[in-house]
Amino acid sequence: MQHYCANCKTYTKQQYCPLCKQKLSEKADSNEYYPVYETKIQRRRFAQRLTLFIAIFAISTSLLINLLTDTNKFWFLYVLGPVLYGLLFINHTILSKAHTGSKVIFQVIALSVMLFILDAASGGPGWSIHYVIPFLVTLATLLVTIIVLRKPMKWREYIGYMTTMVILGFLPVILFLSSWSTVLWPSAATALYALLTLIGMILFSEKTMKNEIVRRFHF
Amino acid sequence: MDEWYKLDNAGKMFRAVSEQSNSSVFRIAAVMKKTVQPDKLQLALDDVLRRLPMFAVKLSKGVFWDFLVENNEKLYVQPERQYPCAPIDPLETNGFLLRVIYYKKRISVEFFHSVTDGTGALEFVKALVYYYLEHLGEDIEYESALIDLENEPSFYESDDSYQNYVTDEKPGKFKENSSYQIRGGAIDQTIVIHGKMSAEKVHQIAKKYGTTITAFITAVLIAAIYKERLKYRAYQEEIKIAIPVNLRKPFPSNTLRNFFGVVNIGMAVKETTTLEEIIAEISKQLREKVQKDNLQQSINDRVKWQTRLAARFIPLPIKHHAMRYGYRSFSERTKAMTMTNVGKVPLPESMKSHISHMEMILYPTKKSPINGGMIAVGDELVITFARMIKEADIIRTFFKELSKTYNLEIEVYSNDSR
Repeated sequence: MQHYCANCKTYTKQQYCPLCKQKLSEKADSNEYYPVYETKIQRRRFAQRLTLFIAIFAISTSLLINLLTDTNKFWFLYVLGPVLYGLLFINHTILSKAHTGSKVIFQVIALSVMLFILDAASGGPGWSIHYVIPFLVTLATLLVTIIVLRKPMKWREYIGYMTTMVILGFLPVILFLSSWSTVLWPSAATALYALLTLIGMILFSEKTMKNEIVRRFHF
Repeated sequence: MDEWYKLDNAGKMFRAVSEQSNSSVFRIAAVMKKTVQPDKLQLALDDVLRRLPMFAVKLSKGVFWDFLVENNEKLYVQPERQYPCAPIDPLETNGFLLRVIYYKKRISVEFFHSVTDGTGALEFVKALVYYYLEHLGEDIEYESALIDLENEPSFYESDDSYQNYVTDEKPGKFKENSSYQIRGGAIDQTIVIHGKMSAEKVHQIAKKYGTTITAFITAVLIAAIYKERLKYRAYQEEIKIAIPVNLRKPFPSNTLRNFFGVVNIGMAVKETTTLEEIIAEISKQLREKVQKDNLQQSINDRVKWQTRLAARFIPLPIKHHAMRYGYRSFSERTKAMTMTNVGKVPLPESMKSHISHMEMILYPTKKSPINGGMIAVGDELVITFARMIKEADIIRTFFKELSKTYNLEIEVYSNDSR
């Protein structure tokens, strides 16, 4: 039924005039044109904020205690590394809807950074960049390769991440060349594996690969 | 699965500036005479996406520009649950850059502006309604000036017409004055108010003033903004309304992608200014600004920044920042509001008889917190305002003025349930 709002000089079927909010009818009828909206509770965001807060709490508290008690040894680094990693693990890997490829890459980077911090805290970089980081990169490249091989349809989606992994694969060699790392074979093996992945990508997917590069780099 | 499209010039812009408070999502809806049947609508949607493949796309990231790729997933119709023109989350739509929604008698389609403009979107909605009615077993015909549904997709439908019509002519340098900006208490909802009236009567009134519906409505709007916001102050800024112009008429094109320009029309209103004077001034400006030469300039302007060699090879994130800055300080600053007129939808009588009226909702943005859209089918003209501020003062005065001064019978309805 139409009501007339003398205030706004318009007609409406709604109980309240949409323009001036005046009550036009006693009867509350359902809106013929629009639903009552569900308010989306953004749980995910809250969980992420909570994790962030806990992380900040843990780091700042341990930093303060560290500074107040013993300034010779920075043991709070042992807290910092794992907490930052845990933050990424929960907020990105578990709670975010990001692409699996990007989750893998972020994991590699975060794990590398954490292990590097732990390594540095316990007496200078050594085992982390000598052995662990190269193998981590290889493992992640392998993982992405397996995902792509299992779902060939998704090949195109992962191509950017694959390329990033291949580039990361040459990082250990650069660390070696800049004499940060002193053990050659893990870095070299990683580089070879990255190279093989790259060649594989080119050989087995020439057309899609070329097409994809054209698209991604069009200007 | 190899089909891909570059974003057109306007599409690149919308891609850069869209965010939570600027969704770049607009809606065209058809309110049917009977309750919508979702299963039939789904069948119709499958048909449309097959016939108009340039809408079945998802956004992919590139190094210098993002691009659109054919999307082979299924797009599902969904019941209306959110506020109109909410940002499109690709996870919700299987990567598609549009959503098809139904509520009681209404079929709405919301488009991310990078894919198409109002004209292209209207073709999509018309085709959707056509297939829908066909699946219902109705005996109907279809007609369109732009596309031939019976035929294979034509190359022209996915053309980037900005590139096709750009000329070498040096764009003239002129600085656009800034406009009064509407402010208000921000709310995190999009409130829409529709006003439904007789298209013929409005047309007659505009004719009496010797002008078009667009110019007449724009003038009333400027008067409403003045009355509610600028009357009691010393400094009278210009009140400018941005009006999108379909470029397919002056520059023949069959594209379903973006091909429009925007002209800003407005003036400083004084206490003594009469509505007749505003109407006269607005009509004059509108006539001048939609001259082909002026529109050619705007095409050249748009394409220029994109094709500058230096700009081409800058990585995308940096480019996006630059584009956002340009948008905020040049495009949004020079208007108080956008009012888009989709016009009278040409439909065969057999289809028209199933449609009660149509609606066009243009998303509001932070700096342009009320935006308007109008569309007519048959004798039903619907003017819609979407806002993200609490205050409805301008909208109220606008409708009140129309009904009081011109004796128009206006039915208003809204999603405002407060």
